[in-house]
Amino acid sequence: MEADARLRTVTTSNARTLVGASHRALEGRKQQVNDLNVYPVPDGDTGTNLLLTVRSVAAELAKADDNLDTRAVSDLVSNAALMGARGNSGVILSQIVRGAMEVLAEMDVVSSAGVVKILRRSTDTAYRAVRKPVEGTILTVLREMTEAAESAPETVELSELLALIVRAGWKSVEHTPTLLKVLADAGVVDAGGYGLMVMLEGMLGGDVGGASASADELFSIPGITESVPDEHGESIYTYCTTFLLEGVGLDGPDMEQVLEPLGDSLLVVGTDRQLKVHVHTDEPGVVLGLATARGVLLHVAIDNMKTQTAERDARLASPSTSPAPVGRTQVVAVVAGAGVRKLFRSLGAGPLVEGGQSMNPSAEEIMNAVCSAEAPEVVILPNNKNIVMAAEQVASLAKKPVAVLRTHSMQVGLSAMVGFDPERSLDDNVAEMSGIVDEVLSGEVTRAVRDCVVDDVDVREGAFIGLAEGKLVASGDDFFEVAREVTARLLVGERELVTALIGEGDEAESAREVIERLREKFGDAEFEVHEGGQPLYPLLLAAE
Amino acid sequence: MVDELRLDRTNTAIVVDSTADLSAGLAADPNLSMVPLNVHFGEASYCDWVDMQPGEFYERLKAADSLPTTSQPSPAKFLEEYKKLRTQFERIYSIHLTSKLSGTFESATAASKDMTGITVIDTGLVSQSGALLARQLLEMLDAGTSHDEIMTYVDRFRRESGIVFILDTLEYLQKGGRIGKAAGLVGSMLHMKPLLTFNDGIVDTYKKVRGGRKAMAAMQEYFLEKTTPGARVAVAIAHAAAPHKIDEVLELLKQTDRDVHLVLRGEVGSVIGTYAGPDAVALFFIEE
Repeated sequence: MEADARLRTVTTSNARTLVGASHRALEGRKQQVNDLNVYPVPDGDTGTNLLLTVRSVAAELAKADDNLDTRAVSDLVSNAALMGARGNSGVILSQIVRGAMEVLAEMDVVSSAGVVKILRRSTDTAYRAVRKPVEGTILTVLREMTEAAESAPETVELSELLALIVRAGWKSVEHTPTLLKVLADAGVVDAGGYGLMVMLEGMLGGDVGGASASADELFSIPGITESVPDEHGESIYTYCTTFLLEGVGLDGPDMEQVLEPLGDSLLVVGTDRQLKVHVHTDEPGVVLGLATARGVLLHVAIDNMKTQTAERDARLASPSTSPAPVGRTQVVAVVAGAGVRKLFRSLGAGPLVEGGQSMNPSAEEIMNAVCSAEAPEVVILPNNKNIVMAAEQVASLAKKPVAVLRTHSMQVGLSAMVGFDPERSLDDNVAEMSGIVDEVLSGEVTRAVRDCVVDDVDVREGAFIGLAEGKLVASGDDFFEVAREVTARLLVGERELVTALIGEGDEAESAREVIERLREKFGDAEFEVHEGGQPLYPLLLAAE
Repeated sequence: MVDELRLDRTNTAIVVDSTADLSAGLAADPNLSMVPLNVHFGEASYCDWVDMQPGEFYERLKAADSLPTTSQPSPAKFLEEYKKLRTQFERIYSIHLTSKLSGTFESATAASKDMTGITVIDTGLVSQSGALLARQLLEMLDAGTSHDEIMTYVDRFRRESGIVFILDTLEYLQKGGRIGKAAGLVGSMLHMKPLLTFNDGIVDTYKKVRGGRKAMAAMQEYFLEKTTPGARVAVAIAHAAAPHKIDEVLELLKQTDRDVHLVLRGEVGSVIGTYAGPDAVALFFIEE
């Protein structure tokens, strides 16, 4: 707010303006808030819940008389927030609003001192509403804004004070992962705190304190492989149940007591005539039954958090929003083919460098990939004999610890990825992955580009040639026979699993048929087939 | 003082929940009672190990359009069992699966609050870890023991016992929302056989491998890491619709220099099976 004097009084119209602005700001960022949501349950609905809560306030204000007095507006807003509160975050928001409205109701004009009072009451009311306040959440953000406001000089201008509060709020949001491990593990800031700031900023006009950029900076979601939290994240309960109970002489503490054994994340707030209840439970029926025994139910919402969690995961797992997860170690791999690329990504590799047999990437390209890796340590998978040297050069020049695994084919590189764990050190990864590299044998089938004799095998231009471990082992016009010979050379020792990558182009269909026949031929082995889409090689094979 | 009471089979009973996946022999023990969790296929609810046996469960699991869900026993069920047992026994040790993945421990704790003589134990583990612990405690009761000895043993069991699953697929674990620290494995397009264990009460990855033989080798490796050379080890093995895997695992353990005693063999019941999925095999053990 540019300290707009007209907005300093509490009128129906001013309330509409402020709540409307807050609603629009939040609507614009609803999805981000949802995606940040990993605590208390990663069900990706914090944005939606906050939005529905604000929307309910806006709707009540729209219906209200234009000429309400200060107290009436405050009561209406407070009540509407409580009525519409959805989810954990919505209920807490309703308490923040309630605290603010209690103070606001007594004011004619909002002053700097008034803002400080409003924040203090909001903070106290919100903390009281939560049975076990957890830091690193919306509560912390609110409290730290309040403390910043309280420590400002008494003579501070309202506009200056608001800017200071917003700055303190974003800073607090930024620090939430240091207070709540589940956020740090997921690599996100707290969704509720973030949503609160989006709303506040929207309400105040968007560019207070130059902080609007914070909303973008602080929104980052690592890949889903990283973002599923471990400890708190998974609620043991399935249903997020929220309802409003109306009656006479309602007893909040009693309600808490009877609901306590039925679930967690319990919030019971309100008055003796109206209670808002939020609980995560497996028995929404029992919860509602207990409630109806005490009053009249209104606004019941039951969400299946398990489905919500799955939806959030699915959304974040989609390639467009999922960059390679950043941990301690990252893998730079040289790959060719859309399918191969996808396979490597799915195993946590990245950044990837395009290249291979016919197109070796330069050391510079590999170096660029290593530099763009955010993790402090990097493993390079050259995935081709001819690229190993360039990769080793990069490793010796790079400013961070880089190790090269001498993977001579993409298939071997792919198998090695199974042993990769971004959370482990470079050394541990190298030990685990090179153990796999030593065991995997790889081969390929392609077409000869000229007549020649290689490794004592006569090769005619255009014929299929089969290589096992880089050595030419078969040649002829029969795709299957060549592939069979290669496979026989790979499936030696204890090896039991063949990974086949189908190449791009006209021969893909016959490659699939060849695989089917190989399955029959080598009945004891397991075959796993993927569309690699690699150029030049209709079939890449690996056995382990 | 309560702690000085000599505990034996005349005055002490053990309660487990159904996720302990008791073997038939253990289930018949007169000092052992079981309270079932529930498994739900759509609208229909069944009691794990009571009216839903593993054989039928895995058939239905494979055929089901949507995955079953599970729920903990109500505190009332525990209360009923405790009350019944307390007419005959002075002490009850109630052993439960990890409270991080189920509300069963909470239900049991709630039920025990208004009663005396009941100790509710959160193993932080699942499946036959519970059965194995129950069996070891029953042996202690055979010899006569004390509350302190039991609790010391429970602590050791929680710290030192081994638990490792080879799942055929992570699908069930993920869809059931119990993936825990193995989340990093989800999304891999290569088919992996993850070896999963438990840390701090939640699922964690021990190792990722491809291929059944490697998975078995990794299970052996886990067993060797968690036991000392030459040690006598009590072992439980459970399968999910894959009975032949028990002997495969046993064979691998016997190849080691450990003195392996297979004390329990059985099946992964419907509740744990909802998350483990068919064709899983699990190994549990504790040095004796």
